[in-house]
Amino acid sequence: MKNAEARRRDLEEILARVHRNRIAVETSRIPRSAALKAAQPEPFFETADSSPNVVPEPPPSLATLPMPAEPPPLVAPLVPDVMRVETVCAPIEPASLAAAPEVRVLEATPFASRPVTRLLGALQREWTLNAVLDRAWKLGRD
Amino acid sequence: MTDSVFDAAGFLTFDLAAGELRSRENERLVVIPAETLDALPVGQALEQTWRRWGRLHGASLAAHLRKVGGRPGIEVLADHLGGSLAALGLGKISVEIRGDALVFRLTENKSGRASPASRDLLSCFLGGYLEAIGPDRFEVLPLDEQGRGALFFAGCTEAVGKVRGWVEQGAGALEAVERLSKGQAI
Repeated sequence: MKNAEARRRDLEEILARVHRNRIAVETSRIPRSAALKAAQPEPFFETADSSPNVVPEPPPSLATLPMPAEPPPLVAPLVPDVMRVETVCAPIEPASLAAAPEVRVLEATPFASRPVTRLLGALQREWTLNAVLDRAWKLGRD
Repeated sequence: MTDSVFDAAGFLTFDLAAGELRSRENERLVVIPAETLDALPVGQALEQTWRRWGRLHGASLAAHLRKVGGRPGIEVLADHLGGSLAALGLGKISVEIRGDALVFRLTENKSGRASPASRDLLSCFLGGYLEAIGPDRFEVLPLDEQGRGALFFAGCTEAVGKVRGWVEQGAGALEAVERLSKGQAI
């Protein structure tokens, strides 16, 4: 048989356990946003027992949020700026080349116009790719 | 709209999910600071790599020309090579035909430098490129010229040797090239 002192300690222990459980239950009822707010330094000593029983407004539904006119791209557009280059364009004609003003082209597709090919040799020659490469390779051979 | 043989659209593909950047030739690329190129010691292995790189892009033009057929003009060279180099960030190039001599000119950009790559490495790229589009093996010699970008002379081994010799003897870059052309009956 327990004596009176032992029964008193058991009763205090039971009451303390009930009290702790109640606090735990109250805490679990706090909405997450309020719990996060409660985790902030202020109010520092506020507990579930002392805090007013205020139910915060639920967060706005996604459906009610204003949507932008166009959804933002998932990935930043990389290519246009990367591919933006400058090129100097001029007619492929020696006589007009010297007088032709340089034209700067800034476009996403860089070679909307052809880059300069300066033909400073005789115009009567064959200017196909193969012919030019053949003459260039034979030049200066022993 | 353009009738260019070089199409910038789709030249680079960013596969962010795989963490890869590839060119249309399916070569894997890496975006690195241009200064990194300066830190690489240029040697035979690196030069061979750049020559292979040039061959890869020259082969792209050759495949296109086989597909379309006909007898393309010299402008396709400046078009495709210029587009490829620009898209790779290696500079803005033009083609100059001086007599029979084939010369490339890289224009200086706003930074005052024609290309982030060294002239020796670009020479290897250009040599490989030319090798892939024709039957002959070209050597490409970088030449100095004040104020108008970087010049490159392309020719056979003998011609490159002659131009190099004249330049070493004090001739100007274009003077040496013109001397070579004058020695050839036109």
